[in-house]
Amino acid sequence: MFGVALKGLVAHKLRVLLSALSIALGVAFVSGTLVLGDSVNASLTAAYENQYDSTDVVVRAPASLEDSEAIDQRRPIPAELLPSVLSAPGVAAAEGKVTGFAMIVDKSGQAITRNGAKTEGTSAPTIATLGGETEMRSGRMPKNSGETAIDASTANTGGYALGDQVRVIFRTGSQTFRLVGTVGFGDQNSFAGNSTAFFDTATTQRVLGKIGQYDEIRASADGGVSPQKLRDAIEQSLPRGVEAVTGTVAASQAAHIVKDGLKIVNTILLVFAAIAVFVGSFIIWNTFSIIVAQRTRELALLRAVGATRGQVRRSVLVEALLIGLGASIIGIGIRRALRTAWSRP
Amino acid sequence: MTITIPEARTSTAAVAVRCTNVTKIYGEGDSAVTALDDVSAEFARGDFTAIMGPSGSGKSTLLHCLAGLDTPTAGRIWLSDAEITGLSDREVTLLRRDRIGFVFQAFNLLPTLTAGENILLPLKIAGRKPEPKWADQVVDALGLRDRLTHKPSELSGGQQQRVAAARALTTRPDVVFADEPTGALDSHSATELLLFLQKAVHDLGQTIVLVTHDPVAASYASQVVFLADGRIVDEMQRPTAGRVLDYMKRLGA
Repeated sequence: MFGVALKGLVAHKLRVLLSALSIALGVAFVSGTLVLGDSVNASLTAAYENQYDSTDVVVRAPASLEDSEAIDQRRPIPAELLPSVLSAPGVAAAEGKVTGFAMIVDKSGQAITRNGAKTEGTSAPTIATLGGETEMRSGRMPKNSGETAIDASTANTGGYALGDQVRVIFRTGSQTFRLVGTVGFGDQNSFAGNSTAFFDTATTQRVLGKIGQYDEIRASADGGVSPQKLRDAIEQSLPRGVEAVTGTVAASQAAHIVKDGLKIVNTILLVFAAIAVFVGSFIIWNTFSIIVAQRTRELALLRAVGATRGQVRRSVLVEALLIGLGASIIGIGIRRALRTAWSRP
Repeated sequence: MTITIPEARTSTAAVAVRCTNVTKIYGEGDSAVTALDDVSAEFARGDFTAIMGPSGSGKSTLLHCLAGLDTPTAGRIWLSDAEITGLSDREVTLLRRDRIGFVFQAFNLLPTLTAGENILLPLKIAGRKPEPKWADQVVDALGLRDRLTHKPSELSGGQQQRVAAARALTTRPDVVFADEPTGALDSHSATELLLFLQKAVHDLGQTIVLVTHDPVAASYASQVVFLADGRIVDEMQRPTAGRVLDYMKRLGA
């Protein structure tokens, strides 16, 4: 009976092709949706997590809202805290970081934005280990108030080369800088899809309106000092209203915020996937019942020459299983092909 | 798949098929139609019987009931010594698989299988090995040796019916039911097939029940049973086409 079902499949290639097509498209759409959601999730989460890679302790203001711990939602802390953090026992290096709104403008005067991603200006890390995954793609970090470095992705979009004049818009106005470097983040050319402009610390404080302030101070520990020990030591010297957390805690909180923010995106994608499955199942069910109806005479003949109900049912199920399995594999192949085609610039 | 059932044995009973007081009513109430009305009959082993009658006389219904393809409203049916009325669908199916052969008017073969595969289909479904000698004998008797690898679509109508006949015989069934097997054939192919069926009875000892409305086809049988309005109205031994035709005229067909 299995052989009979198999022969039927081979003999009716067109018939099989049509139902296989609807299954393959459904599978491609659903798996594509799920994989897209997952990969967006993973890449964004990784970016926010990895920024604290070799940071042992983060000093910052507590979250101003209970359930929001995003860096933007925190008040800045006074810059005078840096010396006392530096003098805490076990601190190897420490650096203040300022981040805020900064929009890079392309050569025709249009702001470079990427579908809802953030546009950020941030102080250039001078201590490499405290800069997370930040690394130079070309040139160097800015050293004076007339220089900037931008993420490699934005540089590419804006058509900027080293030495070009780049205009950046802040909340307080705009200013033109000379481009001295392009920056990457691990293997990504942008930080979670954001556009990022780096300035030296003093310039960042000035253009973001945070003179004498940091958003956070990152510190690394001497060899043999655990992050937890260092956190305890640093906290001793902190005034009320400032907290110290380990890099691990800061990283997981940052990742958590991203995941929270992406929840709605994932839900929407899942709803689309569900609709795709729903519609797809009707098409598949319809196609398959037509196939079985066309085979009524064949199935009747099988019954007449002695096939039991179970045998006939199994032969139909085997056919459905084979089509489903084959078409699903093709569907996943289509999804991979589409993804490859997409991710190529 | 393996299904354990007793191996089909050529039973020693002298009667291949027997039915008593079989009634078949289609529909209910006002729209009820009586297709068979209290039919009792016996078909002896090794006999070639034709069932004849005008359209709507119930001859196909009788055949379907005897073969377990349809269930009678009342009455009992035996295949050799096994009663098939009252059996479950599965039991009837297994009985049919091992003890009954079929030749229909059309669509006898699975278009996706070759002639050879079609012939062995009942055995394959049963998970049984063909008896090589018997299968060869049947294939040669039907002149199908060089056609075994052809698909049904590559065979003529006559060849297709001969393949169907071979398939019906490979299981060495207790009885072969043929429902208008020559209905779609030209007279030459029809004659060939009927001669073969006759040979299967005489030389191989098969039992065949043939439903037809063609007096010529009926004349190949050793006896004819006449059916009208769901009742057996007469029988005829050693029929000829002329005598059958005359009788049919009297029946008003």
